[in-house]
Amino acid sequence: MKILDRCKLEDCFDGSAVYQYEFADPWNITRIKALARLGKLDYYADFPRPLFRVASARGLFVKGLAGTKLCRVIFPRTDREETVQHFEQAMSLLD
Amino acid sequence: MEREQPSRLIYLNNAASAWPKAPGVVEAVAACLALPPAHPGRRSALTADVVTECRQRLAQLLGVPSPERIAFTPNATHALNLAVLGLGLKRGEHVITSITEHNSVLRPLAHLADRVGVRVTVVGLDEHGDLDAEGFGQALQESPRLVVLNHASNVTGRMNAVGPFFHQAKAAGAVTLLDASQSLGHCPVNAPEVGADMVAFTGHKGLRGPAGAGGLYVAEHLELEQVLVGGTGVRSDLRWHPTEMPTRLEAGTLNVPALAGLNTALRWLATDGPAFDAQEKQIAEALRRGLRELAGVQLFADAPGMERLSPVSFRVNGWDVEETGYVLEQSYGIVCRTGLHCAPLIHQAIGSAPAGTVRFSPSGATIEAEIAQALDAVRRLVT
Repeated sequence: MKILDRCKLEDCFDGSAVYQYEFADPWNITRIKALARLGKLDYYADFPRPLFRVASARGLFVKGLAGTKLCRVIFPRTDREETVQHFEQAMSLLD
Repeated sequence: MEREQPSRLIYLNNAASAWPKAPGVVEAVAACLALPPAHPGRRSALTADVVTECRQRLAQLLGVPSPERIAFTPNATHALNLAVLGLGLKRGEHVITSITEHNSVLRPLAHLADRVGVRVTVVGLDEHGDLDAEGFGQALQESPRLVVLNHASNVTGRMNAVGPFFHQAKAAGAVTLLDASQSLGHCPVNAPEVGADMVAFTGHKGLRGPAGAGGLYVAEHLELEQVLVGGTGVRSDLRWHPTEMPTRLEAGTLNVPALAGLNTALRWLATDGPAFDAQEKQIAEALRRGLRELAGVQLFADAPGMERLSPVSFRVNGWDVEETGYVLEQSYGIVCRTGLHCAPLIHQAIGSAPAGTVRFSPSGATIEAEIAQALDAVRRLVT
């Protein structure tokens, strides 16, 4: 999936790294299932707007809504740059 | 403000900013903007002096005799800064505050502590969740110049019984400052009765006016140093900023459109506020009861018998608080607030540190069907 944009979101905590990613294509079920490569995937198909979330062993948390081109990612405080690269590379290989 | 059908968004974030605004507020702001500006106090044939009227209504609400003792500010944070910084506290002087405060109190005090050397005592909560009266009494031994307390926590909704604390503080020679950001409009805030020398408030929460209008009441016996000076639109021949209230504390152009909206909201509050507040209490209790019954939901500061406003703080097992807010808003259209709510200290006391809580804060405009939908959404997270 091609990343079109990445913007930092603020939260309550100094030094946190929450980003919203925008992709060229929407999250379909195939792409969502492929996220399991990153870590533990939960998919809530019965929510009014179906939601996915992934928690990886590297301390990476991803969540988003099926059918949208967005997702929100929380990167860990340690090894942050490496984890960003890891995530973005994984996205480029998703399709 | 009667509603029967849920809107597309379920708004449960009234502790941050009330929505919808009181009837007529939007129109009052628009009407004010559509008219040629007129300076408050310099009466115009084109516009009523909504600023003067607004001040009068607020004085009545606060139970104080002189409207001119209320200075308008952009918000409560600004008002609290005027109050805290305007006392001219010196190195070594003592201030007492509480663990339940918002950053709008804690940060000005941290500023004074670090840059001036003011000593700050933060009073905690006792085993019942009340402000720690014993700790407060001990702190009073150190001759405080100022005692700052909030009337209600924006995290838990819990009311602080400020009256006895303020009366003790005044007897000990301290100036008392009440942060009524959460309470004004929801419950009586009578400054003389609770012993508040100053009351800081905002117009866009319980008063249901627009953002951009707040204020500070200062009792007659107290004059603050001027922190901000400059244009006043009157007495321009003076080299120094006028010293009479309210101009003393009002530098620069007032947000007259916001005050026009607030004035309309206050008019509505005087007639419809009690019924609206009763509805809010009923709805909030239904929400709290529903959350309490859900397995996998942890409520904070939920002891029975507490006097409280609508905010309810909770956490859902298996979901991070930020994640919970994301899911509720994005997937269910429920607007709430998550995290520390700008009140970082209280979370140690209520057991929600370090991540904070999910906060629902309904209003009298929230309907039962919306509460049912919100409870259903939370239930589906835990099952």
